[in-house]
Amino acid sequence: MIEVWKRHRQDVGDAIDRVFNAIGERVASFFSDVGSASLFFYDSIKLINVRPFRVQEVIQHMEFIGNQSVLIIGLTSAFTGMALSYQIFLGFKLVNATNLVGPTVALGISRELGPVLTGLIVAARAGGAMAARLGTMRVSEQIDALEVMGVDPKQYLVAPRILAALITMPLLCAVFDFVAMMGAYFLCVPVLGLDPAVFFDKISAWIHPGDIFQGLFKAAGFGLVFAGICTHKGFTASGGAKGVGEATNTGVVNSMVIVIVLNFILTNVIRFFYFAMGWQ
Amino acid sequence: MTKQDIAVHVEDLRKSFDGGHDFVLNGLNLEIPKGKITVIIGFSGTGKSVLLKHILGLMKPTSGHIKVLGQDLWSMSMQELIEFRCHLGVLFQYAALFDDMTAIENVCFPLLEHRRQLGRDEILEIAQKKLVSSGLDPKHFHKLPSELSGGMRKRVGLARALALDPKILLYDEPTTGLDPILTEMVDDLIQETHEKHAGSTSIVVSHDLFAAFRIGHYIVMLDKGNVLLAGTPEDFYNSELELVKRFLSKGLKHQ
Repeated sequence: MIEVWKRHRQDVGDAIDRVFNAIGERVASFFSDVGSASLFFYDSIKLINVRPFRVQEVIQHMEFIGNQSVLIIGLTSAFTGMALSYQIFLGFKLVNATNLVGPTVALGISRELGPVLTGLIVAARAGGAMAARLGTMRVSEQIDALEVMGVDPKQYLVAPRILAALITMPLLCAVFDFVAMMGAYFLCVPVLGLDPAVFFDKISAWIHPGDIFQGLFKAAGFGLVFAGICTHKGFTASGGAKGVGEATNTGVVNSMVIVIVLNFILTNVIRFFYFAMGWQ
Repeated sequence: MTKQDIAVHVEDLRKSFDGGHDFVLNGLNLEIPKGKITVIIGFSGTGKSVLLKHILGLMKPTSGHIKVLGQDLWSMSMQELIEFRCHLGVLFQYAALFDDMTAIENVCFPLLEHRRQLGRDEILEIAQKKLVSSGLDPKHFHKLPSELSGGMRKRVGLARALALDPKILLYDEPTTGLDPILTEMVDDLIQETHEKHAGSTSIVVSHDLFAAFRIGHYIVMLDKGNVLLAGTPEDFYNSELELVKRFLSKGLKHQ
């Protein structure tokens, strides 16, 4: 009986050990990942300003991230603008404040939904493609070939992508904001019967350039984040097709989660900054 | 061998991927002569490709030193290492061609990066010459790697490796996955390329024993992360080492 009890106690002890070891390994691996990604990001950013400047590559990636995302951004933003304005219209109708639908939609879009949805959509589309492309290059030794040819692969492959994302994201966010507002207008005015003058008048009265700029600023930040994460995951991929798939998956998922979290942090930082500057 | 005759000098090289429990390379010492074709052979998992990556400076040793053309790779800054690698040309196992570039663009790439003083026409001319000397038919110059056969890709990979006229040419398992006729073609190509580039050093990592004896002037056999035997093909035939005898009998019988 005592033997059984001792063995049982030993088993329980081992199981607890295993659980804590597993947690410890996950935590250590998380911090190790964050550390290596941060170093990778820092190294790559430094290389943007190193000769030869990769202007052609930056333009190519801007075309890929920006131009090829316009359609999906336009489509998503139009329906987001319509859905959001419809819900706000229904809510405000209850308190007879439908004249505030325009500015409320504009505030929500320009400050939050525009940058966040642009970040999520482009992270999924372009970030996934970046991770898959670099991962494939890594496992097929194309990155090794670049290094052996005396070309810094971070400078050639990573830095232009990060710079392109940084430049393109605010532009895409501006497209999102504009098309979403158009969607809201076409639902509220011709369909729901709001007065167009009221819709626009209130927007120009309530919305400040700072509201739009904070959205564009956030979008630029999200561009840096998803490009940094996805290029890092692709660049460090290993293990053939399976490894490329995992790199793409974790790159996109991590980017999306961090975009959401970073949005909340940036919102508060920007509000604090505006408040400190006495702008609002 | 005097210092001037040595292309690659490896001293007490150790490499571990698991924090020092297991060593893939275990105190390896090796001298690879200049101007010759050296073939590195060995059973699978003996550290051949890992050694090659160390010679290229793609992997940092856990301990030990590697001198390539008299330069200690890991005492250089990253920028110096990147520039130094222009002296090395590599034909990777599956050629590692950039899949978004055509054959000729692949060969132009290192020239565009490192011979910026040349005009586009000159670069194109050099690339065409390299492709022709590697035996690629001009009708394939503007095809993407996905449209080329395995042998053609190797030819493009070789032309790209030769683009900057490297002092050392390295081949990583160049005949893996090829049929016997293509294998012989690649072996001939290595030999012809070596003869055309007088004074250059060729290092071939291979498990193909027949090729090793056919093209190699100097053969290095690795076992358990160390050099088992290094010498001329005759040294191998005359060796009394049991593992060498077994490798030779199995390898040659197999081929």
